[in-house]
Amino acid sequence: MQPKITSRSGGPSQTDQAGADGNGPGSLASPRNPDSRRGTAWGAGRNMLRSGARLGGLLGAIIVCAIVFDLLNSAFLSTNNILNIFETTGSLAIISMGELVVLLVGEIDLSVGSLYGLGAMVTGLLWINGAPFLLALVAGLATGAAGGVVNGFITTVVGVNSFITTLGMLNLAEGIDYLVSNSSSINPSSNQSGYKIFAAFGEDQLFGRVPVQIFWLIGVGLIMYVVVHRTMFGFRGAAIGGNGTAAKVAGLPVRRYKTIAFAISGLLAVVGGIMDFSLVGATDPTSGSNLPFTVFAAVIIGGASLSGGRGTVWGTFLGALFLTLISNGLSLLGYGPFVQLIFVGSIIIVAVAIDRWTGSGRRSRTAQVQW
Amino acid sequence: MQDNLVHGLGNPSLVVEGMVKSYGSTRALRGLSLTAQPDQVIGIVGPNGAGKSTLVRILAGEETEDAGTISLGGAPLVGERRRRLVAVVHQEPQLFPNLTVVENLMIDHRGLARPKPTTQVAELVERMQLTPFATAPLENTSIMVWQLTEIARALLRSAEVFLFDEPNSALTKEESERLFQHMESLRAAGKIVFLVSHRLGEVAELCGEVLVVRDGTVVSTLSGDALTSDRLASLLIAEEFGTGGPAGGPEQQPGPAHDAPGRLSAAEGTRPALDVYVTPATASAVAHPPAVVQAEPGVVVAVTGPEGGGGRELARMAVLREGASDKRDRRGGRAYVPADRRHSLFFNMSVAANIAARLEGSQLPGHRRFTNRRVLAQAAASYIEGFTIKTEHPGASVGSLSGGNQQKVALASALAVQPALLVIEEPTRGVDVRTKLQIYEILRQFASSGGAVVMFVNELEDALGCADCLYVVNDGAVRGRIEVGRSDHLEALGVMVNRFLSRDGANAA
Repeated sequence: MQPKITSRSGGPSQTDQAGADGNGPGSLASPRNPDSRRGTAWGAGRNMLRSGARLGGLLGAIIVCAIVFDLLNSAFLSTNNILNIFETTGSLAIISMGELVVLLVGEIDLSVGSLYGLGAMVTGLLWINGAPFLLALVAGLATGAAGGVVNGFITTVVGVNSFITTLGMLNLAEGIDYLVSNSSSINPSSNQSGYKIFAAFGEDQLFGRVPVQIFWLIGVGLIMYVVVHRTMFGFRGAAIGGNGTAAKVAGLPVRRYKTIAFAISGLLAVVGGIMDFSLVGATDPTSGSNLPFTVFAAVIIGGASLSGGRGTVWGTFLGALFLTLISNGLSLLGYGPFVQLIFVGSIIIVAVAIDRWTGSGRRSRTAQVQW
Repeated sequence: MQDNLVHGLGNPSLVVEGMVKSYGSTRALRGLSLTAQPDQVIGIVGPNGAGKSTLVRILAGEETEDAGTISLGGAPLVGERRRRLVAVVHQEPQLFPNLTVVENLMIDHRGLARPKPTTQVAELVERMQLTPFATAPLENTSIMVWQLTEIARALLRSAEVFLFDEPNSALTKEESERLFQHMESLRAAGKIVFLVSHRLGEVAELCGEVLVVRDGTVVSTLSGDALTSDRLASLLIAEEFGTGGPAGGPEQQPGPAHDAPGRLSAAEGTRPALDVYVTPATASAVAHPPAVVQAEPGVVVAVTGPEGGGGRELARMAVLREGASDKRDRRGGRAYVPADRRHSLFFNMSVAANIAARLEGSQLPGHRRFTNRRVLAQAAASYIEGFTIKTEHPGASVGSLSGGNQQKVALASALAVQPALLVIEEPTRGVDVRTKLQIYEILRQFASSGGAVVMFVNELEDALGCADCLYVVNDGAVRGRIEVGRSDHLEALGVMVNRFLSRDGANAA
């Protein structure tokens, strides 16, 4: 995660014109240094517009796709199916928000897939072997957070880069998952004590038919929004991810923040894992094996940068929603998982390409600021 | 010109005419012309920002000129031919560290099969005294071997012009001597050899002719008896503020001329006599005699010296030794601003965020753990105003600012934590004259409010502009200490520094 060099000479004349087109109270002001007009303003300024454009574009794509799917199959925009889409989006979006935090501080976490499975497995095993559900739940969550802390320790203290570290953790946690579960799945019966709490993670539907995932998504999403966009942690984390060298020079707590980011990622992976465990009613060691790819797709489509220091919670949510919507729509139309893979792959590439060519990615270091 | 006739075609001369190059609104080269022949090594000296590196990059074909011509032996030197015939020996050679010396030399070989070393390569390795390293991966060898390999590679492609760009800043004295011998033998073989260097003693000694570059043109040419390091030093520094004028620093009134509302000061209350002895502990460049620089509250200490001589390392040591990271509260501690803004700024963030980046939550106005852009803007407001940082808005991307304003942001970020000691390298690198004066004033203001400043400077102007004393460091030791008076002349200061530098053998002039 090298600090990027800002090229001031690559002056974005288009942007300047876009700025001249008006809007912004600033355009009334007396002549300014043309360079500074490239900047992004507060509030109603162009930063909001541009980052709004990024989110708006994604939202637009979601709406267009929804309409197209609905034209092809009118069941698509039925209330049931919409709720269904959100039900599936919930865990993916929550896990992706954890990944977002890791990307923001300039690292990468491939281990979410297996921590997701392992955390659910630990919870399930303890629970059906007699532990109270809440205790089992805490143990599962702690497993995920501990996995994250280990990732953070190895990355920041030992100094192995996070790609390798978390690739190792991906395999390691999956291996443990198989070992402790004896490769078998866990299917808690509804008579199990504490099942009510368990069901509240995914199986339940409130107000008749609103899936409980929506509430989890709102709750976790709000917390993560505050963490990423309103706390010193989010602020300094984005600085660390944006320029690690400058962060060291500034004396920011680089190691601590990166470790916390990995812990959040591990924790949210398990939250997602338990939500899906509850929704499906079963968990087995294979679950989550493809998850990292989908999670990365969601975060990247949501506008985060793999090189660190850029990304939003809103974008991540929309990225997850978009992916779910595409697979849901395609399966309604009778296309199987293979076609879905082709679509998802194309969307990732197209989303990043659009980012690059519309400017927000191309000049991200100057044009779009995180804070 | 006569020489050219005598030597005939075997020794073509390199002619650069009317070279112009602009970067945005900055004109790096303004019609620079020069003629070079292989009868002597030609030195190029000039202050930072004079256009030397632009000239080197253009000659090497790494950049394209806006106007002007380069010809070698009468034939224009353009495109691929320029890249082939002109070789640059940098401090950081452009080689493949994972390959051996011999493999690096064969990298341009054409053909499908993995080539065997040709006799030409073998001879060259021998001649460059590279035999002991021939099969070692380059990354395991010294910078000297890299440079010799770079020269050898250029010889293989029959380069005619060799540019040595600060080649020995990281070399030992013995290695430098060896390198100079190679330069001399290149010249003797009829190659055109340039030496670009800040070490005036060496330049005066090695070169038969020295071009002084300022503001994008050659302002004078020295040769023969006129070529001494003192003369070079005075030429380099003169004219900075017009002829003979005292290089006046900015106005020094610590008064209300500049009142960033009380936040400019060092940690209030903490004004005990603070003696910071900067002693080299680990840096290899600062090896033998313990160099000590004393920083005191209220005093701006400048350190200067050639690259690799230990001055920069000495200044840096002040922060590194303490290990400035992970401290919950750095108030009253040390703050460091590196020379390169790529290492001091967060380009994914706004001006306000950059200024507030080093603050703890408890130091932000009214908030602790939670923050948002408005809070950051409030925290930064007094600095944006006090340092006259020209930005459209506190939320504008820091990358949108000019270099000078970026530097002020970097300074603001360091001073915002109200440190007791500020360590800064090259405080005015790439900054225009007006901003320079403002930066001097900011540093003086910080000192007069009880802070201590240690800065490493390349430009003596910086020392004159705001330092109280100047340490000259070379070969890992303090060579001299100069009390800087506000009324001193830059030229006189340059001569003094140069005396200190050449006094001790390394750069005997």
